[in-house]
Amino acid sequence: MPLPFPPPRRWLLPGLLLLGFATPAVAMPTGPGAFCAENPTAPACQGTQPACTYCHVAPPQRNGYGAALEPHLAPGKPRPLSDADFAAALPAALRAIATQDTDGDGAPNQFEVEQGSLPGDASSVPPSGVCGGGENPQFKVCQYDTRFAYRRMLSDFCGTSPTYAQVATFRELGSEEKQRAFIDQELDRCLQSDFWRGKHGQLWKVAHPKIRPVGSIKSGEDAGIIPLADYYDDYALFAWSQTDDHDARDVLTANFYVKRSGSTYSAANSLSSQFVEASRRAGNMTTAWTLTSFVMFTALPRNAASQMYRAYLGLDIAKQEGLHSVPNEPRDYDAKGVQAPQCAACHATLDPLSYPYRNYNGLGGLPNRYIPNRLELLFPNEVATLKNTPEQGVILGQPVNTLMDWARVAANSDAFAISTVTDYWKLLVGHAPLPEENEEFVRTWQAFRTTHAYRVQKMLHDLIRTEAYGAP
Amino acid sequence: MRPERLLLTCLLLTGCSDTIPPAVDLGPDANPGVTPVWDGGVAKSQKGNLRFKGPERLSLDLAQALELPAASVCNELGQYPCQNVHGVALGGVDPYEHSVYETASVTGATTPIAVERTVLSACNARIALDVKTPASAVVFKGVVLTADGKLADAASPAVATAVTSLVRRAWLRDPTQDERDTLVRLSADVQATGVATPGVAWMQAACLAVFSSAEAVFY
Repeated sequence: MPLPFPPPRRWLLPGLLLLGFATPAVAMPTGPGAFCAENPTAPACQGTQPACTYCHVAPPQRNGYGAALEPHLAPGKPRPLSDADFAAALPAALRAIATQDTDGDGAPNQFEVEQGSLPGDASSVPPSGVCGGGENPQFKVCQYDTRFAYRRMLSDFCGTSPTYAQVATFRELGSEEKQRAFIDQELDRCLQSDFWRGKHGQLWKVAHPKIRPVGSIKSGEDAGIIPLADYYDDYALFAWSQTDDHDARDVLTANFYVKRSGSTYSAANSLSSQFVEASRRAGNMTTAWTLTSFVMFTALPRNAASQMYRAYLGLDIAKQEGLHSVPNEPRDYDAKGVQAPQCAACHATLDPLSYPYRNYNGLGGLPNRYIPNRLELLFPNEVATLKNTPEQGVILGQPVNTLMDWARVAANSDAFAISTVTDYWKLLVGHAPLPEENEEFVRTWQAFRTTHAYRVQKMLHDLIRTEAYGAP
Repeated sequence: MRPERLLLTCLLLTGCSDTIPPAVDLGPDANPGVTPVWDGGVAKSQKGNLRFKGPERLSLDLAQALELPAASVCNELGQYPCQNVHGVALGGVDPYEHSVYETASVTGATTPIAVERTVLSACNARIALDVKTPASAVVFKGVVLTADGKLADAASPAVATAVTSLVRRAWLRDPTQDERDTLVRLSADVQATGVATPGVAWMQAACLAVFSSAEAVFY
């Protein structure tokens, strides 16, 4: 069984925790594992690893928890500590401050670690687990409330609340079992609604931060004043991948396109607005819009790679998330100075992530297509080392030969499943998973990967059954 | 919802007069039309995770509840849908023109104004139809106005029924006796202001108070 990959914002923490003791630009890959090895049942380690903010205000500045930890880390040893020394010293240091309450919120550090709140943030406290007394005529405030879930589900997926009469009919169903079955049935109906899957519908809303449309340069339907590429194709593939019995990973791996007619999406081998041949396609990573908007005129498309990493894996390199430093990187083929220590910490991950994009052209020359030897052909006046840029890269620590390989590794990662479920959690629950919701969240994304084989609609049935969603 | 919005609603709902029209049940074969009051301390949610409806749901809910075509809920200058014009203020996105890709995590300073604008427009549309063609009235069915625009009888069953209808449409439940009495009493306060058409003004105030309440705009 493959080891779970550290998810959004989590795995770097101890790495950054270490930055306070090591040189500011060096990531410490041993930290996350050491923290979670010491706390294997902590919610922050269930398919995830803690974020930088666990120990830092903004790296390398430590919060109260990080500051309390520091003196217990191999005291007397010269700084910076090596990876091995840090990993060896961390468990004892964590134990040394376990009973302290470094953020002064009344909860000891280890209790917070075990309950999923942040030991360095006084505003983050363990869930009380206490329900208010008395009665409530409208809501079951301490448990799943089918009536509340029914109202919320109809609003979320169909766009309208139920009517008074519908609520009355729902109540007359009697047993909770029948009511839950009815909610599932209604969810299936609403998942076909224009509000959910149609043009500008809720699925499109989920896609906005990934596609990042710009109306003034849109081509095709609703074209802007300078039409360059049609991002409705990207929305169509995204919506396709999230509906019916389709595999959500298609958004990254599809070698086909998708056409929309009303709220109906259908696969197509080619579109007049797309120019990458089937053998070089990787879903929305290689659409005309992605190449136009994120590759643009650049030789080494770091922006495209980092946006795909952020959009579909939830890993934002600008926030020092998802850093998997590759030995001997960055090579700085385009002579941008990224080997400077303050740059290398991120670029040791980012540059190998970007190499597989080397032959995908954005604007200029032959736009929006794969061009073998693109760097040699289109950038002859750039620095001579540019042409040495390989097409082989590395993502999540795994070497890949092509962008299609990149997409497959990404789509099969825990990060993809976590990011996908997080998108819907935020849309439907209203916030990213909270500590007290972590158990349900982990169960949901793990079932999405396994039981549901990456089918979003099946995952949504799970999500609306969680207390995070249905307990008022 | 912002405190001032809630305060306004409370003020609207707590106006008093000496003559309190009794709330009237809906009649035989109907349930009493009121929700029992729990005065022993209501159990409170530990989450407090209500979500703001946002532009699309707010407009669609108003259209459904007040039985209006979606296109006539609210339009600026008679032609630009309020849910688009005030989309970001109402918690929506504006991805194509202004690169607003995600909704704000909190409601903004202008959100209450945009909510009231939208709700009042929808209420006015419904009231205009109900008053103009009483035979096909939906909410204010049977509510009689005098020649000078006052409610003919604020204590009539029709008024109480209209209030219950408003609450059912907005809150999906029956009003408590106190809620219904308070909304009925509002007619006297509106009339005391000297407004030219106090009957219609009461309908507007009651509709606005109910449909812009926290219970109606959050879910």
